[in-house]
Amino acid sequence: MSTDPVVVSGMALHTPLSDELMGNLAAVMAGRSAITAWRSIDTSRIYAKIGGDLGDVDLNPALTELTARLPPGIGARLGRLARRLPHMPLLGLLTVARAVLDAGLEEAEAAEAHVLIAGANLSDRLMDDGFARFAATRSGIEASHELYLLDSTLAACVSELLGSRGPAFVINGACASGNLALLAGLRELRHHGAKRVIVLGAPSDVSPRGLHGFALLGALAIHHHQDEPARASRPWDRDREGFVPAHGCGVMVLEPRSLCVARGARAWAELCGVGVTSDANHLTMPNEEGQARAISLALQRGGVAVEELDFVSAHATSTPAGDLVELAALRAALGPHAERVRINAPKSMLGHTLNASAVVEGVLAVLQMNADTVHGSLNIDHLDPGVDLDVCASGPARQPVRALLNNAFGFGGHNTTSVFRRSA
Amino acid sequence: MVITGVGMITPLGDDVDAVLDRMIAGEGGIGRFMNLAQTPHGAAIGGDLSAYNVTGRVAALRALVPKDVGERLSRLVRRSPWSVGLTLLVALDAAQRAGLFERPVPAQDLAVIGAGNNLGARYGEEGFGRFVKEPDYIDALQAVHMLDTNHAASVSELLGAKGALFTVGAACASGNLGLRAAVDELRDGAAAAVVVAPVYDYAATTLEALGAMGATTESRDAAHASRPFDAARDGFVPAHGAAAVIIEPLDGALARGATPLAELRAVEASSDACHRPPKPDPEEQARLFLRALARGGHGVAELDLVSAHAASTPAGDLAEGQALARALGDEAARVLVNAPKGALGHAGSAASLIQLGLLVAQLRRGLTHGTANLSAPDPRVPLQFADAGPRSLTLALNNAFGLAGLNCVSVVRRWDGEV
Repeated sequence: MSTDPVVVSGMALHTPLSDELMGNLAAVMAGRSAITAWRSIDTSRIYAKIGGDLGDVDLNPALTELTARLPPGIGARLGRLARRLPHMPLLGLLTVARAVLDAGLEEAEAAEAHVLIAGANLSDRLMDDGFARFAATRSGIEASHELYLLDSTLAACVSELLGSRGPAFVINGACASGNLALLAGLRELRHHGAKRVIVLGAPSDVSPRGLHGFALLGALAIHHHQDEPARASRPWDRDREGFVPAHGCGVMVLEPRSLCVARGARAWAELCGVGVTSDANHLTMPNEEGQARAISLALQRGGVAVEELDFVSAHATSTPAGDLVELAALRAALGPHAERVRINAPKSMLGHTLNASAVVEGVLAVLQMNADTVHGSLNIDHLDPGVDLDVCASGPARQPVRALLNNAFGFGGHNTTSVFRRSA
Repeated sequence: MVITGVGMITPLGDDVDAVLDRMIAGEGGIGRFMNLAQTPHGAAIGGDLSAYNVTGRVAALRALVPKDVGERLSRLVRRSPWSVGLTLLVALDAAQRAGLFERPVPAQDLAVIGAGNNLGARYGEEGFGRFVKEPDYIDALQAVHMLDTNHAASVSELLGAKGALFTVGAACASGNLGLRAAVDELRDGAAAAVVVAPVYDYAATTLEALGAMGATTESRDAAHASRPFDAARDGFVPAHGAAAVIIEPLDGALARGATPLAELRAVEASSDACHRPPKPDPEEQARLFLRALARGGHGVAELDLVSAHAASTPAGDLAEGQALARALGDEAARVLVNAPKGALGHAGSAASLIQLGLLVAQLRRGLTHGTANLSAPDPRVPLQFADAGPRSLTLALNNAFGLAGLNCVSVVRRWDGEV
């Protein structure tokens, strides 16, 4: 088993705010929200009306630009794949391509990557469209329908893009999927001899029915601020109501530091460890003990002392119960040091990117660490009186960050935290 | 790593030894799906569990487990979608057989790993029908119930497991991939892992889509349609099936007084780097077989039995047969091959975990099952196919290849009681 530290040697991010790393960083520092009324989803029959929408973005300019900049074999395969793939998987693939460029991978280096897709049930809209066509006509199901319905096909497509014959699979635990993929990435490097790993926090192509399911659960912000979408996601605000779903995707390239250095590539950060626990409860109640245990496990596995932490990118989804439970878990796991870390809520601007969230927010957190600045938590007009930690309510702040936590908790009692450290 | 418990539910029964006995007796489990209407292009036949006696099984298992676990089982089965109910039953069966209630591991060191993706198509199809009529008619817990990972999360609640919890998927290679993830989890400190591969809950639209793809059989002859490696095969027969396996480090298993059933020697994965057309790659498969054996510290000369993926598709069986012939070399005349999908049909993401359970039973009992309907082997596949009957068996390979070129194989060895 290798003990070489694992570094993040490439990143990419596509959210409604930007399809570039620095564009996203600048937007969240400026307090811009990604949330609008849904344009690409027909919300006429459902309560959910707002979200972060990438369903109607034209991917052709990016495709042209990336195809030209990528190593020729990868560029050619991207062009071929683009003619086949539905919109959201293609958006994921383009984001992988950006990460390949950011990491500076040559053709042969990309071909050594193992491929991990964070997420499951990614193509609800494709599935529901198929049900609708078939129910109406008893036909209309094309030969490739099942192929593109399967989440695992996205893993196969990323492998094809990279020309990699390494392991490729999906890993998920609801909204904690991203951190689970980062854990699996560490294991590919440490236990399976991978030279590098591509982790794609995959975009969720949510359907009207899927959105309605969240609404019926009482999990969404559907009553207040609907005419001011940018104000609806408001973690730790007194008047928060629920989460706001969003499209978005992120990619991390993981690599042993020695290989990253040998290629002359930049290490954005060290991925120290990931903690994963279960609450033994398949429903949706956040649990302080399980979250605290995940945080402690991540720190212990990562060999990071509590005192090294300067920053927590919180899961904080803007739900009445969850946002405070998370702070209690941080206090339980970090002790008095919890009062000395900056805690912010990326979902206050990005909304909840679901399966992708822990990768999307992990990328954003690493960008903040490299910028010695943390973004603010948007929309805290009246801080919940139950908040007794620094949740960046007053906007961005200069903050040198030695190490950070990236929290993600999912339906079904999935608790996860990843720990990153400034790369030596 | 050792396997200490196996549970399965298949159209041939819900006890692994009984399933093996029925396969050895030449019985088949294919009929038709009682919960799905015929579609224009969809398979007319299937391995059905929709009429499986869930309440009877709940009662039988409740007699074997602690009272609180039994109560949780009843409550969870009652409130969950049908396929999650089967997941709970099969996981509880495996845990009970592994003695996890009499001789438990610490709750926070017990991991639960789901294996499979896009599992709930029929649940989704029914829900969509309700949504079209009136959005508020859908299951109020749809947002939980439609997630693949709800299967593993429900098992974690049932067993009170508080260690790692996640779900992996690689289409029809998912079962083996779950084993691979479990081994990693144990290496990183878990005391035991439950790997559960739920029923792939085919929807009518799924059957239509698989038919439109040309993947499934056009035969209506249920007893003879699934014929792996046979010259007259024409596509796979979809089937329900679920399995669960308990894995733990040998020393931990012995320390808590559990009985190892078999050793999991290695699990290796790869991909074909080509998602379309879905065309299995015999060279990649052959490399993977050899790598898996080597990772387990073995060579082809030690291998006794291969449980083939062979789903009865023209291209897939041929590619696998060629890959095996290539990897086995001269040993191809000695190493036995069988394909359980002849009797059981193709249980999708659960298939390779069902196969693993059957391999554990075959190794333990020194018996092989044959391959149903293999009457005229494809002449392009020069392999030694196993008949049903007693054998001396030590080492076996378990193959799984998923749609779009996702491969994962496991290597399992008879437990001989020697440390």
